[in-house]
Amino acid sequence: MTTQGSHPQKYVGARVSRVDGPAKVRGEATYTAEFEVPNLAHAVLVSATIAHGRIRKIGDEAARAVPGVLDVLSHQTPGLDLKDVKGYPRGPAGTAILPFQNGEVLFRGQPIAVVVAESLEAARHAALLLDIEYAPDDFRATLEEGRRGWPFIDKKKPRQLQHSRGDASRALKDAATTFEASYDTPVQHHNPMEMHAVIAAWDGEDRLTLYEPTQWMQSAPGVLAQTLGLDPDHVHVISPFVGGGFGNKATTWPHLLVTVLAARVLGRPVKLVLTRAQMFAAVGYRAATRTSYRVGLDAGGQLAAVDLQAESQTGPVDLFPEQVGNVAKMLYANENMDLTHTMIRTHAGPNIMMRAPGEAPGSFGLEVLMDELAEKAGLDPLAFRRLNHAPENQDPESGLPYSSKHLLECYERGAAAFGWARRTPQPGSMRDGRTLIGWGMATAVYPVYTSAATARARLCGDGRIEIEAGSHDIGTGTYSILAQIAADELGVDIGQVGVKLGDSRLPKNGYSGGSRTAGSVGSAVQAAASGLRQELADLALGAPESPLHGAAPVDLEARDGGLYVKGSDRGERYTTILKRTGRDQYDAYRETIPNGGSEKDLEKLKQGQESSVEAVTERYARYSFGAVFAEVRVDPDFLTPRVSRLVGAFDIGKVLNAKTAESQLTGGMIWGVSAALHEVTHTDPRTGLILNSNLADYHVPVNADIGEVQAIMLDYPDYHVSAMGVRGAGEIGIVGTAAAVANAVYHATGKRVRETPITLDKLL
Amino acid sequence: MRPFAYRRVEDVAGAVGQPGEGHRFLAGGTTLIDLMRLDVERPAVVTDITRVPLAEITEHEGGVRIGALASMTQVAEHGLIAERYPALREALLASASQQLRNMASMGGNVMQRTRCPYFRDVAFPSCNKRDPGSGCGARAGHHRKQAILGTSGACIAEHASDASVALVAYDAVLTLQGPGGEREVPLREFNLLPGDTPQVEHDLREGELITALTLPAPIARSGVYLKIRDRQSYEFALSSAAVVLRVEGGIIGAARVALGGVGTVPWRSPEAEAALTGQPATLETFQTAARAALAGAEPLEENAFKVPLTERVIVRALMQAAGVDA
Ligand SMILES: Cc1cc2nc3c(=O)[nH]c(=O)nc-3n(C[C@H](O)[C@H](O)[C@H](O)COP(=O)(O)OP(=O)(O)OC[C@H]3O[C@@H](n4cnc5c(N)ncnc54)[C@H](O)[C@@H]3O)c2cc1C
Repeated sequence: MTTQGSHPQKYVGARVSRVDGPAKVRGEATYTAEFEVPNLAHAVLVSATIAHGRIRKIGDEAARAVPGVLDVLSHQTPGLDLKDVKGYPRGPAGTAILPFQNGEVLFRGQPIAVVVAESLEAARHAALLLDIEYAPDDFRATLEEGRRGWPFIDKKKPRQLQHSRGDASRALKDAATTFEASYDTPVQHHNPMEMHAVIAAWDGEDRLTLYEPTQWMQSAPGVLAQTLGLDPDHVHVISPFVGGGFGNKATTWPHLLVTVLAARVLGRPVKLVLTRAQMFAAVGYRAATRTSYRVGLDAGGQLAAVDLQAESQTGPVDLFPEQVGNVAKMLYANENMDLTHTMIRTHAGPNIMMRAPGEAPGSFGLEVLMDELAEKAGLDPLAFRRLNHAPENQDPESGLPYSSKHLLECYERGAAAFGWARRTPQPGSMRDGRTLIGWGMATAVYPVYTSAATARARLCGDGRIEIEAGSHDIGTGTYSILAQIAADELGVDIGQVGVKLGDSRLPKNGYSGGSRTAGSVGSAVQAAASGLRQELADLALGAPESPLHGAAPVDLEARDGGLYVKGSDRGERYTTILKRTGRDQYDAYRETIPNGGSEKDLEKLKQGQESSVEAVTERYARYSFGAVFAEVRVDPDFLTPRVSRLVGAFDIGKVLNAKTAESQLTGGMIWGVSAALHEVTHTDPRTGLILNSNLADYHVPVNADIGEVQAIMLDYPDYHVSAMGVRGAGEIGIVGTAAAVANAVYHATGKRVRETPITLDKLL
Repeated sequence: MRPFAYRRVEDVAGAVGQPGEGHRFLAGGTTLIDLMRLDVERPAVVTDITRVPLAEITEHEGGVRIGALASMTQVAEHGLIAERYPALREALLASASQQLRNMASMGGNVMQRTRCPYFRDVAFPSCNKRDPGSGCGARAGHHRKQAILGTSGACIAEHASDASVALVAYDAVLTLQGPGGEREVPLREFNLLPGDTPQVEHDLREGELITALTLPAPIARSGVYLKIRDRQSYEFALSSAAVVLRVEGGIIGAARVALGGVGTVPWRSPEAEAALTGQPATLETFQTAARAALAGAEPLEENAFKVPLTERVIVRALMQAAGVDA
């Protein structure tokens, strides 16, 4: 292989506008529900209106009589058998609860029937006419009710997750001061703007085309392989644009299987789009949690012991832990720790990862706790965190050095930009006229996950570059950063690079979750693009007709759409090199294994399994860090908290695109405000049903709720993660922000609210 | 949604005289279509009145007459409204979103239905308003946003309109055109308390169309609408107050106080008005009036906060209307 010459970085790191932005703004980006497929039938899903019980009967005479109705499918329909599948994280399905296999209702909103018709209108009308009789059973709708115990069948009892180091109970006894408090976070729903949708079209008995918005191209093929015995390579998934996912489009949910079955029964393509209300059922949610702490401080205010009893809710069958204890395990220097995390079953349905699963609710408890402890220790909240800072050479959980940690600098730069030094400690002491001002802060942390990845770079006859990767852009900017990487590697204008994502026939990649896509797929694209450059260089250097013949490889530079000897005009365009080969295009395919990973990860990836290299490897603990500062303004009579200012400073490794990374961070911070002040899914105690399954009643902030938001990025490459030094920016923004806001509310009002959302009724 | 017959009419004569049950007028559609999609409203016939020429806003005996099809935006932006009825303007601008206000009509606004989720989601088995006799899901359930004034054992659903709160404060009168002729009903009497029949919400007879809302000359040109909610915009009121005060030489000559977000109907408070009239415009007077307004409140556990909150909303609105500093 030829040694590579240099290639100036023009695009990587810059503020590059989204390459897919114009298409999106013009409505030219086609989302799942918009694909036009001939002979399409329309399906409407019917969801259970009890939380637990049995379906006695589904009467469908009236529904079938609606003109245009083609079929009604349910557990009463013969021939819809599916083989078992495992729910995430043990398998690629969102839940092991399969649709239409029996008359059991295990959770509210469970899909129990589907009506298929020539038109959407007919299907919707007919769905209202189904006569469903239930035999309801006792249920546990919420985490709170789940604590009463689970007197129902449980095939896989939740295990407790535990972590222990040092001697926490003893250290608690010896501590100079101790403190106890519990923190609660509610059920929240992802609510991406784009609804879940599926178009399923069979080609014969064993080949299937699926249009669906997905964060994990390999998930549906994997689930269909298990449930229907299909060859995963015979399932063609098409998903070029995803209108937000946040975790609920990472796994396969029952409605996809329903659509596939309906298309098979009818022998024609079927489209199903969930309603907003159905986005609150059977596509996952963030579980409610409680973290109960007992903490000891030594005389100097340092953490001496942490005992954490954590609880998170889960569904009736699957086991997905909302890992609220993870941040507390590692964020601060502390030798003595006991953590027990218990999962509690509910009939709320399967829960799933939602942006920073575990870290987001976990950091609410931990960082409000730190604020309370700082006050107890008589220290400024920032000074208290500095005092308990875990040194760069020792992750408290693993004992390993951090791969790259600049948290102290985040504190410093965030505090300076915010003006933290002007904070007066006494709650209620800062005012603007009568308005109460509160300043609060919190630490943010997010682990680094990476995956094996594959990509292809192609030189086309007209000089354009095509990048192919079976990965996803869920709105984060993947198209853009991959184009930037390829343009720099090959020295071409970014307008010359076309990126293809969202197709299962493209080189395989893992799921887009855990902030891994930029780093993992970016590495593969970098390898493929530089591989293409090197192979083209080899061709030129070896061709007597080339002006580059005989040049030293190290002197080469990729620029202006070709290869040139540095500082001279000697060279030629890629198209000239291609022409000489007699081919009309030239491909380079590359596979990458992330640091800390192995061939096995690549193998798993190719088999469609999850292949994740975890944050802590044999040598390093790899995390991103940040510090978030919040200002709230609170009316002294109405106690309506509003966030007027947010500053976050983040250590996220190398920044690939300052604009899209900043947008991820500020978007995450705004979601943190939402968690602190607005978001909660309400459950009716008597029926177990959701009360606010719409965006008028499920609140997120509107523009008027958000003041200034600033994200500072430190931009230190982390070469222990990847050659590019990228750690990912998707999730860390939401971590810590809710606590920073809660701490600011306390500082403004003197009232400590230990649950979210913090609404005025809790402050009055 | 269920199929329905659609007819469009061009004038009032064509619109009135529709059979009551199973019939609905379609104005902006922002309540009706929503509820039809939720299967709460199931009209057999929908009469589109959007082309009926009823959108004029005109001066009327020192007051103003608003055509029932004037949009919320049109009213909010009208010079006469800004000049004479500032609380109505503020109430409209604090409602919904710009897009909805452009679509929605004043007649439809007055007729809009409660946001109580037990009413709006047919999956809930109990709602006396939707299904008389089925019980009240909210009472035994989640009821943070429901009413504390004018409730009954059968229903605690809050009336959600902001504009109606200002309209009752300004003594608005509705003109109703029916097959048998025209009649006028004060908005205050038009909205009915739930009692044992929460399904009967208005004094609107079969076949009647609201043609206009008339506001008499206001008691004063100062008026305030103050609305408190969980987020800064695009949300219904947790608590709101529309107040109009006439103050002469520091003494309150006349007062109008109406409350939103807390009543089963737009809640006019004669108790507060009595406590204000003839009294000095001071914080103490305002506090007394606020307590008087809430004296009859019957809060439940989750909405008990609305009592102190509303007292504070009233006091602040009165201070603003009177130009008194805190
Ligand atoms: C997301 C959302 C947020 C909202 N937020 C707010 C808010 O913050 N504050 C607020 O006050 N409102 C709010 N609204 C409600 C909105 O103001 C009402 O939906 C609107 O005013 C209704 O007017 P419309 O013309 O669209 O009525 P339509 O939906 O057309 O009609 C509603 C009802 O009135 C009847 N009707 C209409 N016109 C007449 C007439 N002339 N005579 C007799 N009957 C008639 C119809 O038959 C129907 O039953 C919100 C609505 C939505 C969807």
